[in-house]
This record gives sequence, structure tokens and C-alpha cells, in this order.
Amino acid sequence: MFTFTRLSPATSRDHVLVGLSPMNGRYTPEYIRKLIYWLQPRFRSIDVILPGFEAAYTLVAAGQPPTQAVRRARRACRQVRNPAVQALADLGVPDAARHVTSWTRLHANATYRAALIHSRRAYLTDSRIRRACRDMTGEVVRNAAAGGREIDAADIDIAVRYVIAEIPLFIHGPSLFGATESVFVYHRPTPLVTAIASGDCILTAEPGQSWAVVTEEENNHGRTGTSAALPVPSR
Amino acid sequence: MGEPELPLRYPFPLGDTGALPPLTRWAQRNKPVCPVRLPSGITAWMLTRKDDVAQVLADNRFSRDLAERGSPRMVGEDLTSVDDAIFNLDPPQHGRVRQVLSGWFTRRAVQRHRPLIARHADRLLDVMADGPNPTDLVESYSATLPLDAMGELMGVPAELARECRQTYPMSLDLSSTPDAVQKETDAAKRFIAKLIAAHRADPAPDSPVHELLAAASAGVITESEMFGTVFLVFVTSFDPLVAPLTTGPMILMLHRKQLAECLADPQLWPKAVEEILRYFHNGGLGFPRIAREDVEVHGTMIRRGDAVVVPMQAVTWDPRHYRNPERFNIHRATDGSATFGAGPHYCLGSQLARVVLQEAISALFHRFPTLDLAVSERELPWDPNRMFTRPIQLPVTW
Ligand code: HEM
Repeated sequence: MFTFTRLSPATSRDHVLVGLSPMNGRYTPEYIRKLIYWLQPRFRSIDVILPGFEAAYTLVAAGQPPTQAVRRARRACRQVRNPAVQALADLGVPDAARHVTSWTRLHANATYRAALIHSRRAYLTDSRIRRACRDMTGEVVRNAAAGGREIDAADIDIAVRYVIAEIPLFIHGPSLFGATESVFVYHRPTPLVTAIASGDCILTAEPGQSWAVVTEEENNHGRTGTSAALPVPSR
Repeated sequence: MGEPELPLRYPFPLGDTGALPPLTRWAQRNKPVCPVRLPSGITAWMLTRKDDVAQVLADNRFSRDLAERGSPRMVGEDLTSVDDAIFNLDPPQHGRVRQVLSGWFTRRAVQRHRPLIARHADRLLDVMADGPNPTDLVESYSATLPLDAMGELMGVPAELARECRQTYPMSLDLSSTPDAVQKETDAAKRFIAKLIAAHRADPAPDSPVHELLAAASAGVITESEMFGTVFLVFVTSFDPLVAPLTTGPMILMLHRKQLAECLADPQLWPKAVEEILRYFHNGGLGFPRIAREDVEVHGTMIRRGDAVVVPMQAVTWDPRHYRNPERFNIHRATDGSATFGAGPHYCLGSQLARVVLQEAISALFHRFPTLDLAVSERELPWDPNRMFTRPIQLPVTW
């Protein structure tokens, strides 16, 4: 059972984009399966997005040698990709593998490429975006760093590319996935999405873009809850 | 695959990791003169067998004069719309213009540029070594090297370097609108006009631009032939090199045994480059030619005024000439020549392209012998709408 909290007033059920974080322990195969099983019937269409090659920067910044970091990041991506594809296939989504993609692969899409250039510029020019990107990066790098290793600004400079490359997915869901409306779903509100959703930063979402947080409810009785209704929007 | 509906619609879905598109292979087997609908809406005849292509590209009954408005286009008024560019000329006018440049581009003449290419390659690789690892090789190297090295070779003055970078590589995007294509062409024309003015004010001897300017002053070619041909040489100096500088390293990383052989025996780099040239053709369909009269090919009547297009990769994957074409094998007896076309418009830069690729790819792997893909090859982004086919990003680690 999940709770689905909208971060904006939209109520569309057209398309849902699910962000998976391979390096976050929450995304076990079991959790991914449950999440997708819960979301898929609630929307007309679904896509699952994984990080691109920049995922390795988190581990590099945390002190791992690059080739090892890349190997680990690739393995982590495989480990979340496979259950996601399997879940979609089991739900009868045609061509399931095509609906689980990394943003490296999205570079084939001209909208993504243009939005990435725009996002890099936003990072360089908008202090709120810059701070949100660096704070989020600092947090994940510190979590990944072993034995209290000090993280400095140069580490963040490299690792922040991960977060920047994700920005287009928060603002261009509808055109990237050929939908009229699209809701981006993650397990917690991030400062970046909050900044974009608030509407007072340099990055503006395209029409039809919205965001939601989905969290798993504790279920101590080992039974599935009854409600399939979407909880009331957060505001 | 089943029987596709005709005309085929271009662009075709690409083959896996840059292999021949399945529809091209189908046409080669089943429909050697195959109708194809281009994004502009016109339907052209597509030839896919090596012998047919060699014959038609050398046949004067097919014209390359596409400069006139209303000529068949891929999307809109692209580089083929530029008046009197060497690309657009028919014999005998074509031969007169080509003669001006041929000396600069011979196999012998281009060898002296190896140190210049190697110097730019080394500099970029130094920067890459000091930068983030993993990185996108396209951004760090494959797209930057042609701009820097060819920019110097073609005599781009410092004050125009920035504008050159904004103009090239051109996007040549098949999903673009005619309007956007026209704008892109116009922007490149403005850049070329400034470049020519700069060369007139301060001549840079020993460059193709210089040869063309001298020939125009001497009355050997017209002002318009000079302008059109400088324009074309500039497009070809950048865009067609980025693709093999991306696909080449990619395919070698996916064939590590052959890569190891090249590292152990550097004499093999030229062989590797020939096989890269054969395996990928980056120009997709190639620009149209027009029949001046009715011509029959394989029992199909190509009518006067009809357009004919050729995907060069079909030629270098023709199983009648290349055994197991889908296999990447640097030890083949055949070379990559056929990727550069056939007949009078055979690529003028073929020997220079080889020099650039040999220097650039060998320098890359001698510097980073452990260079490897940082994502699964399945995740590489190929955009079928780019005229010069390649992964848009090539994440690597070392
Ligand atoms: C691997 C890279 C390259 C490939 C695969 C390639 C391929 C081709 C092909 C297939 C044609 C013939 C087009 C046709 O007949 O429809 C051509 C023409 C041409 N190429 Fe290249 N090319 C490459 C690099 C270059 C470079 C680096 C230059 C020069 C700087 C260059 C200059 C030219 C010129 C000037 C023509 C027109 C020749 C004429 O119309 O007489 N090319 N190229």
C-alpha cells in the first residue's frame, strides 16, 4: 500500500514517470515491483527512468576509483532495471523494456538535449537552483562516502552533473514521453522539484507537468490496505 | 522481417549499435530499386547494391545540380541549395572546380598534416586526463577535435573561432522544419562570407580557401563557384568526421581483442580505420541526384526528373562484395573506399579523413589503453534523425 501525495494541484492520470535511484537502499526488487504494480493501473501510461552514466560520479566523489565506480553504478542500474522491466511485462505492458530507460539513452531525444543545455545554464545563473543541486549532491555523496571522508567543493563540482542531468525529466515529462500530461513520481520531495513547482525560479515546467511523492505505508497486519483512492493533494 | 509497405519512409529505424538498418537490408535483398519517401515529402528511388551504385554515380544521365529552388531535398533548403558548390556541379563545370582543389587533397599532400592533428589530439587528451572520469567522449574529444584541428587546417582566424563553433557541426536534423533548415544554411553562409573577407584581408596560404580564392582571382572559377565550394568544404570538414570519431572508438571498445592487436602493433591502425569506415556510414541516405532522362535499372524505369538516393552503408555491407558484412574485422582484405562514394563526386577529403581518423583514434587508445564504455551499449543514444549517424553521447571510463 502506498500513499500518493501531489506536489501541485494537477490531478491528471495520463502518464506517470517513475524515478528509480539505484544507489538508494529503498529500491529493492520487491519494493520496485510493488511500486510499479500499484502505479501502473492508475495511469494511462507509465515509464520508468534510471540515471545515466553520471550515477558513477557520486561514487567517484565519495572516493572510489573511477573504473570501480562505473562498474558498481552499472551493476546497481541493472539491479533496478531488471525488476522494473519484469514488473511491467507481468502487468502486460507491451514492449516493457522500452519503457525503462536511462537518461543517457534520452540524449537521442532533441527535447532532452535542449533541456539539458538549459538546465546547465540554470545551474550557473540561478542561485536557488545551484544551491538545491549542490545540497542534494552533497547529501548523496556523504551517504556514499566511507569512513567519514571529507567531501570538498571540487567533489561536488563533478558529482553535481548527476542532478543537473535529471532536471529535464522534472520539467519536460509530457514532450519526452509523448503524453499530454505527466506526473513525475519520487519517494520524497527534493529541494529541486520544490523550487521548480513553486514557480519562482528560472526553470519553468512545460504545461501538463506535475509532481508527486509516493511513500509506502507501514502495514503491520501483513494485509494489503483497501484504499486505491489517491489521497488529497498536499495543497 | 515481413514485407514492408512501400514507399519506405525515411529515416529508417537504425540497426543495433550502428549496424545496417533492417529496412535497408530488406531493400538490398528484395527491392534493389526501392521507392523511399523523404521527410520533405518527395519520393526518391533508393539504390542499395554496390554495382548499381557504382554505375549510376558515374552515369552522366544523373545530375547533381540541386541548387535550383524546387529541387528534391531531404527536408528543406540545405547545403545542396547553395549555388555552384562543387557538390552541385555537373561535368564539365564540376571538373574545372574540382581541379583547383585536387592537389591540396591528394594522398601524398595530406600526410604532412599528421603532426598538426596529433598535436590537437594530445592537447585534448591532456585535458580529458585531468577532467572528470567517466566522461562523454563526444564532448571531450570526438566533436571537439575536428573543430580545433580542421579549424586550424582550414585557416579559421582567431576572431571567427567562436562563430565557427556555433555554426558547426551543423545539426542537419531530419526531423527539422524547412524553415529551420533554411535558417541553419543561412547562418553558415553568413559565417563563410566573413571567413572569405578575413582571408582576403589576411591571406592564409596553403589552405583550400586560399586555393579557391587564387583561382577566382585568376578567373579559373567564378566568384559564385568559389563561395559555394568554400561553403561545402567547411561543412565536410567537421560534420562527417565527428561520427567516425565516435563510432570508431565505440566499436573498438566492443572488440577488445582487435583493439589489443592494434595497441601491440600500431601498423594495424590504418587497417582498423578502413574497417571503421566500411562498417559505419555516417551520412545516412546521401543527397539526391536527378535523372535527366528515362533510365532503366533492374527492370524499374527511373523517369526523367525522378530523384535517386544512395545509402553508402548498404554499399559497404553488400554481401556480394563483403563477406559477413555484419562482422567487424580489421583483417579484411577489402578497404573502406566505397564509403566515400563513386564517380566524379567521389569524396575529395577521403585521404584527409583517413589521416585524421588514424591519428586521432590511435592517440586516444595509446593514451588510454583501458578506455571502456561506461554504460551498456544498449543504453547508447542513437538519433535516427541525425544525418550523420552516431551515438549522441559516448560515456567512457579508463
Ligand atoms: C569519414 C569521413 C567522410 C565520409 C564518409 C565522406 C563521404 C563522402 C561522400 C559519400 C561523398 C560523395 C557524395 C555524393 O556523391 O553524393 C563526399 C563528397 C565530398 N567530400 Fe567527403 N566524406 C568524409 C570526409 C570528408 C572530409 C574530411 C572532407 C574535406 C575536408 C570531405 C570533402 C568532400 C567534398 C569536397 C566532397 C564533394 C566532392 C565533389 O562533389 O566533387 N569529406 N564525401
